Amino acid sequence: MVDNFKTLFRLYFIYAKMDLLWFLRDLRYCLLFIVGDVVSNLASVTGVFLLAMRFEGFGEMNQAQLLFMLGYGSLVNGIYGLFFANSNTGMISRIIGRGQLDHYMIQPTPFWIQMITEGVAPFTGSGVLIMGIALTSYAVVKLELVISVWWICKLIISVICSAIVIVSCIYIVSYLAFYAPSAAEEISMVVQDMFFSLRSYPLGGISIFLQSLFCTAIPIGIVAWFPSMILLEKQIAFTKINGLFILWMVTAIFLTTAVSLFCKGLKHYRKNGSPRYSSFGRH
Amino acid sequence: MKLKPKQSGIFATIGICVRQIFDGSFLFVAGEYMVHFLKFFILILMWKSLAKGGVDLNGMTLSQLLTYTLMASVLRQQLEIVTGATASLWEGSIVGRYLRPMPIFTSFITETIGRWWIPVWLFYSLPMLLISPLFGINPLPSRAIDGLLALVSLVLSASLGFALDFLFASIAIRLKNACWAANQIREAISALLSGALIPFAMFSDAVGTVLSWLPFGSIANAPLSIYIGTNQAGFLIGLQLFWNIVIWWISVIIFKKSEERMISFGG
Repeated sequence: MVDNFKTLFRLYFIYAKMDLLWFLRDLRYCLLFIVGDVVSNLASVTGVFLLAMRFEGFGEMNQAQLLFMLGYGSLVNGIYGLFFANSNTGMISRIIGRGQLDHYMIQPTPFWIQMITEGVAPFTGSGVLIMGIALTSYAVVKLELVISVWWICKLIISVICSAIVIVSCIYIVSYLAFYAPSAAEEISMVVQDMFFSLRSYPLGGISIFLQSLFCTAIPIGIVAWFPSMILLEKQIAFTKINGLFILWMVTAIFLTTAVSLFCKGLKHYRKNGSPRYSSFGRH
Repeated sequence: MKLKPKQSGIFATIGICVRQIFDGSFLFVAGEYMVHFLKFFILILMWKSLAKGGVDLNGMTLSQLLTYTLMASVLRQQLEIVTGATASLWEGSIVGRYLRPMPIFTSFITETIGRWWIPVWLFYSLPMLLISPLFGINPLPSRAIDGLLALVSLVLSASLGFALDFLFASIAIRLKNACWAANQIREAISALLSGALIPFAMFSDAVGTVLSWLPFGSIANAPLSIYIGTNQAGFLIGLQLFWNIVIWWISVIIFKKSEERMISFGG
């Protein structure tokens, strides 16, 4: 176990170093990619922010609360971008569908370590995270929130939970790629798009049934709205149970499902390989 | 009537692309349709919740707003045009387009119609129009004349969309390996600036006016506003014509100049 953690941190260090070297070697392109990430994230939150300005808030949130929610969503997007977006580990259906799991299997490193370390980019992949920190901090000041150590812990835990739910959902749906590699090769992108394009909408004004649906079975509310309600200590209409507990439970359920389905798919892969390739070549 | 070789080439390309989209990627395509439906559904919930709160929708009725959102979803391929120009440059497959017996622009336009317009229309847009009354949405234009004018406007907006796409492809050629970053920025800002996501009338007056004057504003805001009957058809179509002339002119010149610098590393 200790060896595993040593490997984990060694790999994080190696990927961080490679990222820094790329940044120093290719500054122009790196800056373009960073600007690209930040601008596209800004564009995805601007629409809702402009609506909030026009109507002085909506979805049972005022302007500053909406800004906090948009900042929180950016933090989650930033964490995903930092750890999973720079290689295809956040788009796992591509790796499965292209038969590239073989590359991981021949490494003398546990599978999970490779999955969570590959492509970590603290220098070039942190633009959205920094933007998220700035937006959230501005909203906190505007809301005049009393910040305690526990509140900061709650924020960090919630952001990690939200990011885990996104990655878990991607892995759950990507399970299809084990059995239909060609048809499901790009399916991770659909799930990612679902989260990042719908996370900005406050769900306060919709029915209780839909709120609970969007926080459980189709967990788009878990990425920004629900945790923001918890952190802002606002009443959540569809439950009287502690919001943080629900967030942990939902995260645990999605993570467990993702891990067990992925292990099942991996077992199938180990036995059958990728059906994408035959003696006649790729199909 | 027998088609000329040039015309039959165009139709053959469209036909091949229609077949390609479901050739092995059905799950991805079906998932994409579901996400688009979800986006539409959540926007509808937002508008209904806003209207329930009794806010002023800037002169629009809830019914108009819902029809606007429905048509933005139904016509999304025509209102958010992304040809294969940038992606094929990234992959290196652009070279194959130069070997076809048709101009490069025609090649990308026919591919887009075949690969995206026809399948999306058959398997997403048409079902959406049929089920829209279940959501309490009237899919019809405010008046027959508005529907006709919206159709003219839609042709102009698609044309403008292609021109802007080729302009972005020219920028991508110059950015070489960073063309993906350019594409990412373009896709993110075009949805917001075109009015395909949120109608300009829902923003403050100043923001809405500025956005409607921009070339992106002529893409989605113009045909959809005409469709729901905002009585600005003449002005909006005139503006679209102006942007079509300007952007096509710029994009043809820049694309021709950029072609000489085309380098692809494959992807």
